[in-house]
Amino acid sequence: MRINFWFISSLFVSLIIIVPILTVFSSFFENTTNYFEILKNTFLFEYTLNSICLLVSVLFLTFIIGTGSAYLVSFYEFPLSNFFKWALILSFAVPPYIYAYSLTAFFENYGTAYTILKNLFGEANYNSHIPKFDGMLGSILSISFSLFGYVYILTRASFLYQSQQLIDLGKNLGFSSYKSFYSIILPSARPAIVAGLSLVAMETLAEFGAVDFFSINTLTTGIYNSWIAFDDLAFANQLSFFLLLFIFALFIIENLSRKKAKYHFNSRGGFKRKEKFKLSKSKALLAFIFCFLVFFLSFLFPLSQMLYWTIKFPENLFDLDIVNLLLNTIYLVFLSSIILILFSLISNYGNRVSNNKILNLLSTLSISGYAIPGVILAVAFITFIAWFDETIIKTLGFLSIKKIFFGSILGLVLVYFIRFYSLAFNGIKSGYEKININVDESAYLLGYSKRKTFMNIHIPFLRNSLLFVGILISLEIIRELPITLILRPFNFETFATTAYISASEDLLEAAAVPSLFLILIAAFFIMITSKYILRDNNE
Amino acid sequence: MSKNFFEIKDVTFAIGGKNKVNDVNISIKNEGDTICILGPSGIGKTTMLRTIAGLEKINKGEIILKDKVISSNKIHIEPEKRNIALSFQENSLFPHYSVDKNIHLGIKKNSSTDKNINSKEIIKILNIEDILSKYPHQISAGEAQRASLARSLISQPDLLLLDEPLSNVDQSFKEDIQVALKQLLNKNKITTIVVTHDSYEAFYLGSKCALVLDNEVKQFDDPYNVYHFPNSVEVVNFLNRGILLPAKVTGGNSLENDDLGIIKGKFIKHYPTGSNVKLLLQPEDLEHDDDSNLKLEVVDRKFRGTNFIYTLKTPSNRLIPVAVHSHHWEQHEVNEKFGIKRPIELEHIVCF
Amino acid sequence: MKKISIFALIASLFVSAFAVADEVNVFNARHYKADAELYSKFTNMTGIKVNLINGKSGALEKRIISEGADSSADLYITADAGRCGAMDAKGTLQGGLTSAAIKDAVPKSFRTNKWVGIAKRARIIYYSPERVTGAELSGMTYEGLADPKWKGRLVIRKSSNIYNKSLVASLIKNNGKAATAAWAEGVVANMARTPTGNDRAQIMAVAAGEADIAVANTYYLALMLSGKKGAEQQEAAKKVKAFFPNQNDRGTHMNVSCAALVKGAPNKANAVKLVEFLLTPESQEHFTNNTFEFPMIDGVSPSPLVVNNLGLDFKQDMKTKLASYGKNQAAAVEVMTAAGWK
Repeated sequence: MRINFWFISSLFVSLIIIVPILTVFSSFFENTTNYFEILKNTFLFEYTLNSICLLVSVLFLTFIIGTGSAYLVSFYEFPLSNFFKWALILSFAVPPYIYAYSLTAFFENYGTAYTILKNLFGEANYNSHIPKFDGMLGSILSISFSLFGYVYILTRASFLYQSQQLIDLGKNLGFSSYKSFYSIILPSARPAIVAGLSLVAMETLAEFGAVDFFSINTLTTGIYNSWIAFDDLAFANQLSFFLLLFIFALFIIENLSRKKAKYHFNSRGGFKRKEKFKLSKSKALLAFIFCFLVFFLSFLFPLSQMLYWTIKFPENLFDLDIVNLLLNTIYLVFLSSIILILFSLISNYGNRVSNNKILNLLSTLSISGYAIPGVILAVAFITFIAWFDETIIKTLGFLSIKKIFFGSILGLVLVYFIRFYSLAFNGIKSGYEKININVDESAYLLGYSKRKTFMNIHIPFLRNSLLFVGILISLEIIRELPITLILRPFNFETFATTAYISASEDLLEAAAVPSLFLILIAAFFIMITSKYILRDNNE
Repeated sequence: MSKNFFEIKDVTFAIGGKNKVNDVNISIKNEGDTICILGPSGIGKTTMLRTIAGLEKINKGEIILKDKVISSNKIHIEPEKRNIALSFQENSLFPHYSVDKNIHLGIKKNSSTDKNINSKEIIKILNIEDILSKYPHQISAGEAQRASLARSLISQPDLLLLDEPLSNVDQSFKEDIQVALKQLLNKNKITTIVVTHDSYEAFYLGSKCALVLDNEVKQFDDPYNVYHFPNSVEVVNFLNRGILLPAKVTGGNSLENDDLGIIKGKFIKHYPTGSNVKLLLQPEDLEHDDDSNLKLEVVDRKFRGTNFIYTLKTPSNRLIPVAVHSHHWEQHEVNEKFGIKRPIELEHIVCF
Repeated sequence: MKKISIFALIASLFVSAFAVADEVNVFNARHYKADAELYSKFTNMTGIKVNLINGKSGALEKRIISEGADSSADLYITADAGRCGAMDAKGTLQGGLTSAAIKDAVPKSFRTNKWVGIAKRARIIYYSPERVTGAELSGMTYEGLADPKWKGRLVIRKSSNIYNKSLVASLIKNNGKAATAAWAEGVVANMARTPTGNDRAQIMAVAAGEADIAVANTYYLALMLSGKKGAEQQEAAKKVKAFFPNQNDRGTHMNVSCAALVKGAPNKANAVKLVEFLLTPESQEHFTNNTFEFPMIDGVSPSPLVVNNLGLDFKQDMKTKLASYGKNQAAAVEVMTAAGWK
């Protein structure tokens, strides 16, 4: 085994990522303070129950919405079906917490729904007739409409590659279209669906903003609260441990399914169907209504609610230093993307040229950061740095390093790095996998040095992947809440933190402006990458 | 000592313990010569090429090109500094460049040779003019292989390594390209090593052939000798061009087989009278003669264009191939009797 | 040029490590536009730059604790006395808010030497005049919220809400833990719905007819009445009336927004200056007119909206020391959780 630059750098990346994770696990065996010893059992039960309830409901909803819409747009032609194909992924622009604000704003007593009814039908007490979507129900809806896109994208990709032959076979066997759906189409898309659902599950378990807004105690908010309210880092870490067990199980399921999904695509030879089925008028209308409802509820509704409020309370627009927020966001996005892409490129290239088993294992470990909720990551990061500072740096007589990491862009970007590394690494990896290793060797044989091969052959080839990865990271960072909230520096706000803080201070109207900007920027990013996101592969 | 242009001395080739080829000694005497490495798939032929190209290292022996050691257990010149071109069996075109750009990337190499290769000619000969503006994913495997070949040729290497260069090329095309390739290589004096599992391709392209069998180079000789004077049973089996019959040496130029009787010819190796040997009998060795009293039963007949290959069964249940010109008007069906001209006289007798 | 920009980029990574000379670092859990205006006024007057890190109180406290002696925090400003008390108990605060200006301005029970109240708010009862009679409310106390006559008529926020924690902590201080535990059970039994939403949502639930009485802070109603939250909320606010409980005994439960001096504050003197500034009549007036809180100091009147609609003339609980909110917070949570208060 050769210890070279690639090995060292991959080791370095992996360590940065693994250390906070280990921090969580190591404190599992610490004694918790006996402050609330009795109540903990009830808490743990409640948190777990809420998490499971949330998880099951969200999975059910996202499955119905995601596969349903994917099925309709990939197999049938109906009004605007081509528009819905990409419009449905705009739902990613609305993070669950903003969806939660919209739900509340619309349905609360004297909210937007009330205003609409009043303007339509005159004065009356409509409040008692307007359903209230808050608490658990609100959380479920917010998360589902914000995350169903994962299921939609992966399932659609898999549907696209179901060969015509398979469907013809069903017809030949005399299956009705329902039977074809249940016994051919759905089962063969199963790995993709499972992969999508596991992503949804991971994100649901990690969800902080919406759940916190609706004051639902889940394992994730429980971790945050037991850390914040009860000073009980050990209990927080024990909760994290349980949560991580859950999540790692999902992580493994997701990875396996994804591999399987790939296998399925390949084994089928994957040629595209050219023709979609035309639907009869009434059925086309139903399909249209379904897709429109999904599009409306997932994107138009929160967008219009935020837009309406921005117009209704225009003073908030001027109170906010939008240019500054925009600059902060761009700065974070730019810096994080560059660092993430740079290191992922190095690791990927290192893996490629050194073909070292230990390196491969390390990089597999280091992509696990994505499975860890931002809240846990931020807490673990602070715990670790504080410990490291107290026990090592200060003992050696150096100045405290805390200020370098807490409340600095460096600390923030570092934790972003841990959280989003897998996104960058896998994105670039899937690009790299398309370059046959022969290509590298041919380049060497044509007299290209390793550096020149990297610069002149790999980089130009990966250009699109890099762009795509960069935008994916940007999307995540724009929407990211808990890490930014906990670790950002003085006088530094993003659209997400501004929205969150206003909302948590009962100033929901003021949350509308940053939310609106967040949605618009994210939607813009999604639009320019929709081609890649909807591309034929399942990445 | 006579200097070889290229030489492999006592090298053991291996990647991670697999595809091992032991103690290889092969050389190319003159610049511009072509040799072939022939053997079944999975035996390590590609490993040899990769090692010569510098993509793999060696622990034993040395590889010398133009009087310079390029690989040994101590020296390893990086592939980009060797000026050796390798055309891979699978598609190795840069996927994000057009075929044209791919081909001409090779030119950038600061070649030490003063050959002036005409890229237009190569493109024309390899018949890839029509696909120049296309991208690698838009062309067929055979086209990609020819483009890759063109790229290697244009890079003007000191040594060109071709790994199954025509394996994906359509059969109808293959011979034309073989001819064109041979002319190109000769004309431009490009020293080449071709790896192939097709013995005809090897015999045609190479001035010498190395047969890699059972983890070693069994025979390294010119094609005629390899074919007519195979030096081992393994070579015979690999070439699959004859059978071995048990026989007893009856004198200085004769031996006897139980089914065929006395066979005469010149031994290429001396065997004492009375010793038991295995005689190599090739399809061309026996002649058809309906008047002969030596009659054997036809069990199979293959039409091979210019020839029919009859498979005959001897009384001791051995199967013997016999080639007969296909214009021969008296054909024999399966189960019929087939006469063999006697006395049987062979050019030379190869025994083991 | 390229090098300079790279250097700038690297330097900005460590931005928190370098401090500007004349500044004060505020960990701020109050997010009113009005506060920001006050801070910039302060900067204009004194030349001291106010650095803000906004966040929810819990996260900010955590950061102060994790950073320990190296914390860059000078002041911690939050909207609940219980939080300041809890921070004190954890030993993260230091004495020093002892200048004459502070002592003269703030009543004794609303300050310690480590933290002081900067604006008051009362947690009161809102009722629907249509459905609640004057007789029912007569002599109403916080203790009376557990009276079975309110069964199915009461809305109040979750137990995790800090204002509730402080309210219950004050009850524990006055009535003892056992009595408060029984009280909490009574309150839970009276709830019209599972606790949900913020203070404003409680008031609107009464306006919308979901409940007859609600517990919420004073300034919300004023905010709704001001029209700043739109015509609908103004309309809703008109359907409810405020009631100040415990007028016949200790007075209505008061809470404060408080400013606490953080241990190891790098700009201690500036922090004291800022607190003093926040207690000047101009600043106090700014609070009352914009956030509709009650002034901390004498000589400043609350906003006319508050005066006219809520009635200024009520007895405030000036006896219960605010420091007890922090001390009894844990017991408060325990009591509420045990009662099944969501």
